[in-house]
Amino acid sequence: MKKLIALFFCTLTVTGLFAQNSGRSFISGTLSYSLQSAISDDESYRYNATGLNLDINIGKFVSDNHVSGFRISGKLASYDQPENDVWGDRSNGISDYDLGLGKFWQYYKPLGGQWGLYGQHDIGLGFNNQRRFALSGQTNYTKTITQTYSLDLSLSGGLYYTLSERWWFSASIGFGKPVSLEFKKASSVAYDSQHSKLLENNETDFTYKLIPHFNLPSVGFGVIYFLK
Amino acid sequence: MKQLLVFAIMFCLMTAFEARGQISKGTTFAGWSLEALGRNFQRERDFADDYKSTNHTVKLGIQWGKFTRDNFLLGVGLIGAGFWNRDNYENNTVKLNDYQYGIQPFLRWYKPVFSKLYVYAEPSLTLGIYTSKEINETQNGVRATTKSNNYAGSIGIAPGISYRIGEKFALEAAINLFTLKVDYLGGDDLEGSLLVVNASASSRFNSLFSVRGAFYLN
Repeated sequence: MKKLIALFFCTLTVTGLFAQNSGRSFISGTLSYSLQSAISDDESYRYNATGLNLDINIGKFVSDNHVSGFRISGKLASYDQPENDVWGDRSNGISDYDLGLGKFWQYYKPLGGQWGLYGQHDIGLGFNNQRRFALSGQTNYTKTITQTYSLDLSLSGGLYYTLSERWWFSASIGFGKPVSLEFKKASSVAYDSQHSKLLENNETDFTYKLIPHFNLPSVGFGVIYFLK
Repeated sequence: MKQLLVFAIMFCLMTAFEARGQISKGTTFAGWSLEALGRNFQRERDFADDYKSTNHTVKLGIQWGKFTRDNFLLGVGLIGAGFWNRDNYENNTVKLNDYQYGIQPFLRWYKPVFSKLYVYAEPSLTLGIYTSKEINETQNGVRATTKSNNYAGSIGIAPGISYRIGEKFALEAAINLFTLKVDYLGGDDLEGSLLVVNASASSRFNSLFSVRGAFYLN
């Protein structure tokens, strides 16, 4: 295992807040940008990764304590290993992209004062596409494309704090994924120095999990904005 | 920092409410837990052998008990688990079947924290049998079978929490903060037998909580 030294790591998270036309509706979201660079001690291995992630939740109180809502998320990322530059710009550009869609239900229980508890269950569909290049030997390179489809049922819960009528803070404490299905398809092709195909590997991987475990703590902070 | 926050929140929750809600003598307890997972993997390669693997794991637990005093439960649990694995190589197939059966008498002392939340301490005795069978079959029909039978007994104590949802139903979880166990192991895989004393305490709160469902019937 190569020891990596992270030279620079920076994540900037901005919570995006937008107005809805109903007083009982809210929108919350996350926009994050990450930069990551790593190099091994002997400088034989290095990579640069950048990512842009957007997550938007739109919810509506269907009764005093119950919320029903939708979630959409997306991610774009690039993964660059300079050692693969011998193959020109093949390894440049967007290498990973994610798309997620979800429906969530929340239950709020005030504890008195400005504090309360909330619980959430949600169902989510996810898709991830990943492209990687690697050198194999001195003259060959391998291009691997991995596509993952997932379906999850998740549970989470935590505390909320009403800062004002329109602004709430939330902190999740526990998280569980009792039901999950995943299908992964990986195709790896090796090319020679003349860029002609040498051999191909194909893998499919299907997993199912029914595990009612809770992971505690699983802390995440959020900001919720309401419009009357 | 995260752990500190969680402990602070738990402490606030526990101290902010008056303890109430006894579980009365004569109440019947019925609980269960179920876990299942599995995988199907296939690999096709140019100039190399294909490979296919399938496995499934199922774990089932059933518990039954009676409150002989207020907040004191006497119960017994049955545990069953199976693991099935099949690896298909180009020239041979390997099948592995593992089964576990066990019986687990236990006691529980409950302490109401607030109206719906209880904590409990659960000492238990577990007696289990483990069987394993591996069959290696080649394309020519040559078949080799390996079997083993093992047994284990253990005494342990673990804390847990029980949260009521509605009148009779509760979700329960063992807290993996500390465990105290004495295991006695024996069988085909061991020459003789083995006694293991295991006591561990952890200040880390990030363990997995294995959730069970339970009914409390008056």
